[in-house]
Amino acid sequence: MGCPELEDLEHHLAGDLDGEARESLSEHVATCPTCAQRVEEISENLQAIGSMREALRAVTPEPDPPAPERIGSFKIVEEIARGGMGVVYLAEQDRPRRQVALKVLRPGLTSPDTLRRFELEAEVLARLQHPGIATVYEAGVTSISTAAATDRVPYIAMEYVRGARLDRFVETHDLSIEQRLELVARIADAVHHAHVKGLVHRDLKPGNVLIETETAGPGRPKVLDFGVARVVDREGTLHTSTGQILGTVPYMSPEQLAGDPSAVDLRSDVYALGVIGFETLTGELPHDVKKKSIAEAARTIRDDEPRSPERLDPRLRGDVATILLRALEKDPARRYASAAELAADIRRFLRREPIQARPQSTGYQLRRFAQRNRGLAAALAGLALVLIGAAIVSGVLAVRAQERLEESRRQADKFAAVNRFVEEMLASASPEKNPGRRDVTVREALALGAQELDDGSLADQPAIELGVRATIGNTFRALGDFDAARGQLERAVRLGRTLFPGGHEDVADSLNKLGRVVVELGEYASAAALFRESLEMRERLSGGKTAEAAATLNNLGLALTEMGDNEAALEIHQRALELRREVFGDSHEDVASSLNNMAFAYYRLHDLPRAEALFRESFEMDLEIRGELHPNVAATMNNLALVVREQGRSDEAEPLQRRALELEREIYGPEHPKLAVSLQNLALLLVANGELDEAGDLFAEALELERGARGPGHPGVANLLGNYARLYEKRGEFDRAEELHGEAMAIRREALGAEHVATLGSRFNLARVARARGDKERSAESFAVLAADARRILPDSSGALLTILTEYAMCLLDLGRRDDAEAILREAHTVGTNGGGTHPRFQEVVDTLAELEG
Amino acid sequence: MDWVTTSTIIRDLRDLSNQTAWRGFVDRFHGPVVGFVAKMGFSEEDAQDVAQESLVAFADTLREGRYDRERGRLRSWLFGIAYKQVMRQRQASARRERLIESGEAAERAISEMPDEKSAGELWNTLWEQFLVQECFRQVRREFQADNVRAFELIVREGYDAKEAAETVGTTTRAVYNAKHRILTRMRELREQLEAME
Repeated sequence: MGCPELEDLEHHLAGDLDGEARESLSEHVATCPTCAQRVEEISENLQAIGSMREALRAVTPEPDPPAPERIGSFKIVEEIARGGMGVVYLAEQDRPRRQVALKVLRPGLTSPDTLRRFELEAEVLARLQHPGIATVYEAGVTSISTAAATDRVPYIAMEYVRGARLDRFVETHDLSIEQRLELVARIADAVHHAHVKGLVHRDLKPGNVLIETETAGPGRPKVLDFGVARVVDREGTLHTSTGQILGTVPYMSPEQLAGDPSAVDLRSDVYALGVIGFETLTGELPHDVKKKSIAEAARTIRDDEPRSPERLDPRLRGDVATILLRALEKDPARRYASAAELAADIRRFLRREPIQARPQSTGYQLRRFAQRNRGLAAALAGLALVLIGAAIVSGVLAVRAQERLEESRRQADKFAAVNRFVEEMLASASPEKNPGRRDVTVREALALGAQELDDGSLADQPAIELGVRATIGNTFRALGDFDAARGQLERAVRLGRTLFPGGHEDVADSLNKLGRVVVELGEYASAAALFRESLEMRERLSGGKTAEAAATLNNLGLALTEMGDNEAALEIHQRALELRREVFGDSHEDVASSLNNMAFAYYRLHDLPRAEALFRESFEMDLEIRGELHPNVAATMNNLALVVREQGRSDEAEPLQRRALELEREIYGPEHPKLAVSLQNLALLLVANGELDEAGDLFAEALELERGARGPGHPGVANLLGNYARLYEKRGEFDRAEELHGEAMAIRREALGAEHVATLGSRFNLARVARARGDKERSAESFAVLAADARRILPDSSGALLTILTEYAMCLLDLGRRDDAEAILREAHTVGTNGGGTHPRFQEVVDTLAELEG
Repeated sequence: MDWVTTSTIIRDLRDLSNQTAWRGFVDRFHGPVVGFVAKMGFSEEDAQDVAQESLVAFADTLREGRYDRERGRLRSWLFGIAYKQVMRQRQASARRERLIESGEAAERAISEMPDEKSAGELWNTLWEQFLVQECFRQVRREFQADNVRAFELIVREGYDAKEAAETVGTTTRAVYNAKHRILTRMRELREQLEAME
């Protein structure tokens, strides 16, 4: 017998065959390894069908539209590339007969506004006529029909360049320095042409420069994609923008990386030309960022000086290096003012004429150094403060005079030694001592210092090394480089543990610093462990009654809050508060801050009276210290008002809420979006107090601010609408209430999706209003459908599910459907029990069930 | 379009200037992350931002060599990062708006956030859908339309082989062949999607 078909094998597997057929197949499979393997495969396939079916039904994959045969007057030959933005085809134009690259934007990018902008852009592009720019033959909008719809899509037909990317071309051709320079000058010529026509490229990189391979000599560059980046940026689609930003970082100018679009002009293109030139001549990027994180790469480009071209290739010493570094100046005003100037200087060099760019003076470099080293100076000042603090602390200890004196002396010696090392670290970074380097950044100085420590420069003075590593680590933290900070601080802690097995203030300090870095990295449990160790050490050494110990306690409390352990956070904040009062007295910013943190913990634990008392105390202290017109004071007042209102004391909350709003109007100005929150809070209060007319005005004002600040389709607007609707419910104007809830639901459905809990919330509100207006049958129907969806979507311990079921049951009771109501309440009871029985409506469920059963 | 394995994308991603890898990376993983973030209570716009940050953070940990292969598969790795970003954003906005909440108790109860366990379950569901969708997209490129249609009718719509053969206008034998060839390929693609290196 030959091998059976897959069909037969599947039937065999399913046991569908009988008699002879089964026996002969079994016999065959037992002796044929190929079929045995197929059977196994079929079995695995069949097992996979279930989960695949579910997933395929949940998502209807968008089919990739097949390549159209024609677009306008172009016959499509093949797809060349596809990205988030669109597709590029190789196509043939009918008349004149030629091959073109046809770029077609994605149908999703075709809002009327985009189309208008695109057409405008296309007009400008079509005016670019330069041998160094891929010619745009035609641009416009055409219709593409698919089975589902006909889309109007913009397209650009441009010269199809047979060539290699600039970087690959340079890699594979043995070009002299002069030839490479000529290539860069030609690219600059092309870019200048576009600048004259009013177009900034903004995305120059080797991938956007093709070198025609069919020409002799150094090659003829063609710059692609002019203006496209701009269209796409405005459209702001994530696919493209993320891809672009990520792929383009090494070529972006510092002003582009600073994220200020208004600062980007043609000099940003000059910068990119500098990077392209640097890479074309040295084979390396001016900043070594390839292996760095995006944030780190951006920082490096913004803060660090480029590498020296002559170090990478000594033949570039002098004019070539000067030209490249001039194009790469961080300050656009110090760069070549145009791409033409850059090209002209390159050609001066090629003609052996004096170039116009000059190296920077020593004075200028020194000024730049001092500017950049402000951070380090501040870190040094911080170090001095910490050590002085430590000296004072040791003064408080009840130790004998002699011991105290010795300790002070040791501290002073240590401070001097640490200071000396850091000063030397700075000095070694200065241009005078290091004529080969242009200058060094704080980060580099720190890295150099760390390297020296690694090389053993303080191996004979480990206590000093500990101090220096802690300082370097803390400064890295201040610069936002948390990984580097962690590395240094971990070394400091390790060193400290070996050096002082019984513990030491410096080790406790390093543990605290390390904890803060670990918090920044989001590892809260590890951070809490470090803070605890630091505290235990401090307690053992000095009784732990210090400002530093209080700060560590506070840090521990914050870490616990992040972990959601509110009980523990509360206890720790309490201890920090007591300690701070002991150290600073009763009125101090830090004391106010601890009071606030404690209040927060109580609020999280639903102990509103305690939260209120502490918020009030914190607020009054802040008011005393900072005065009324301070954002913190207004915010705390808001909090206080909220806590008071939540305890049902709306009358009392009202003046507080009004004052908070007044203050915010004064602090932020009358039209600031921040006011929307306070406006809404006051409006809710007024609704509770029955002052409906004024509440209506406030809602309207809040709505206008919110719509203006976040756009009319933002979920924040939906929240406001939902609350506004409650006002009309209270007035008995149910039509208007339903209209507003309906509007909120539409926004949520659109912005968050039909299955989002907030969308369910709007449906809940609609069902609730129907019940309130006496339309009980409709309400029950709505609740039935909502409950079915909620059961499917929400976890079986969800408070939201409990609320929906409870309200549904009440509606059923209204209709006299006791048995149905009881069943739903039982379900609600299970949900509430799963959720720990703490939900505010759980008791209602318990009581109603008891009533029904009783 | 060629199918690029996740391992290749991840490998190439280490080079900051490799745009093809970036595009592939973003194209592939953007969808499930945005879908997840949106379901965690963010508006579409905010979800896009949070997803972007998640992808950048993901790429950063990769490039900095902080990805620990032992810690798990791509799926859980991405989830960890996306969930962390979601929590960070939520905490940041909670801090920004202090305690202020709008609406009354019922409204607030309804706007609860899923906890990590539920979020993980949600993620797994979405990830499963994403894997199948991606594989299916590729399968459509690789197989003839009739075969894909037969597969769809059986697997998605639950037709039996005979019904599918009649609908497509082919033999049941051809339908069985299409079904198994595509299923095998889907499983293979899926493995490549989840593989890291």
